[in-house]
Amino acid sequence: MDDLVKAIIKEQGQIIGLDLAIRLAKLSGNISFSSDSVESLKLQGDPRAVLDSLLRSYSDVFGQTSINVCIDVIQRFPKQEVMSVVPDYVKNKLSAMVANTPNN
Amino acid sequence: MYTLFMEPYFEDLLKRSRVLVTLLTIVFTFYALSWIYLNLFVPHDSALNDYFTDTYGVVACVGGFLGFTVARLWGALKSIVGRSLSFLSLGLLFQFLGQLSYAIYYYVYNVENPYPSFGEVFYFGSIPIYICGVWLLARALGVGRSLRTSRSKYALFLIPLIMLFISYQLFLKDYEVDSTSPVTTFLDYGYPFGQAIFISLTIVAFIFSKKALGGILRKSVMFVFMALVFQYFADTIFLYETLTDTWRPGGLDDLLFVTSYFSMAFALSTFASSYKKLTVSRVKVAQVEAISTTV
Repeated sequence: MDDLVKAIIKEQGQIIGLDLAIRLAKLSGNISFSSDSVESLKLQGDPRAVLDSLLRSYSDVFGQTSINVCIDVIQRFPKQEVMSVVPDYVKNKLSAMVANTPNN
Repeated sequence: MYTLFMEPYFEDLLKRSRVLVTLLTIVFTFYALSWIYLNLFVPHDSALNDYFTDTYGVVACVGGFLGFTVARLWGALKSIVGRSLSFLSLGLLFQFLGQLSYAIYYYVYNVENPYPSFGEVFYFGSIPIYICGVWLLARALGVGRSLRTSRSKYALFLIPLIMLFISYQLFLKDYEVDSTSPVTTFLDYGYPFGQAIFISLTIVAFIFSKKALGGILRKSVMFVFMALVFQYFADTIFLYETLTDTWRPGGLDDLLFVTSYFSMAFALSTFASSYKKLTVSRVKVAQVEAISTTV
């Protein structure tokens, strides 16, 4: 879960700047940092709630476009690892994407 | 009511951008009112029109510096949005430098309309710079992702072809190549085609981002698109007036350029206010909302 959140913050950082990405992660309410580095993050509370509030925080920037960036990151992680922690609105999109892949 | 959650560095950048926005508004208002005055009360052959034409680029200059200040809020060259804002700001600065070059030719070397000249380095150079700015903005908006999943991929090729065709019909259909002046020929083709490419990219970015684009930055991005369209119209009308020998200093096209520079600068400034809105503490907002609903 820590790795997933770090990856999302770093990916958002590529787009909007790492300072703002970290700031928005802090402002989501469930993530704290002991330094300016993404690696120093600490998650607080239910993982599902953490991810949900993080995605909502980033959705303030570009709306669904920002959520799509987070979804692209989530897709890089093993399905069994992430499906239990992603919000339902993301799970539906992930399921639809998996269903549309050539192997299925 | 809201608690701002930011460091002094970012607070300083926001203050600077507010100062530059105020300066931009003053300068733009001055030139807009001057244009009205010139066109209502001053003869067309007056030198005042030349002074207007040779100095309104300062709007672009202020806008460029404003844009660079705002870009630093977004990570400057370290983020895609920051790089996009930086390129768009550089485009504005290049417009100013192009005008400055022409002004130097006229007032220092007494050369009137020395096309093509050193000024083209900046004027023509602003085209690929704007293209880069729009390209990066499109990347930030996930246009590539939309294109991969869209059934309308043909628009990616159709729109530039249409714009290139329109440019050709408007400016190059009856063009006679002067083999003795290859630079002039290159620029005469390059300006309309280059502008067609950047406006095509703008249209494609708009079409393929508007469905998913939301959030606080939606308005800022739309303002940028509008400013680019406005810039394209100003450039197109300038080219047309030049071809038909109807351009004059202090004319309608000068007002269009002043307004397009202001539009782009204003669009860039909204990224600063958007940054401020994003960094308002969401915890405090939730608390305020909770209080509001219980009252």
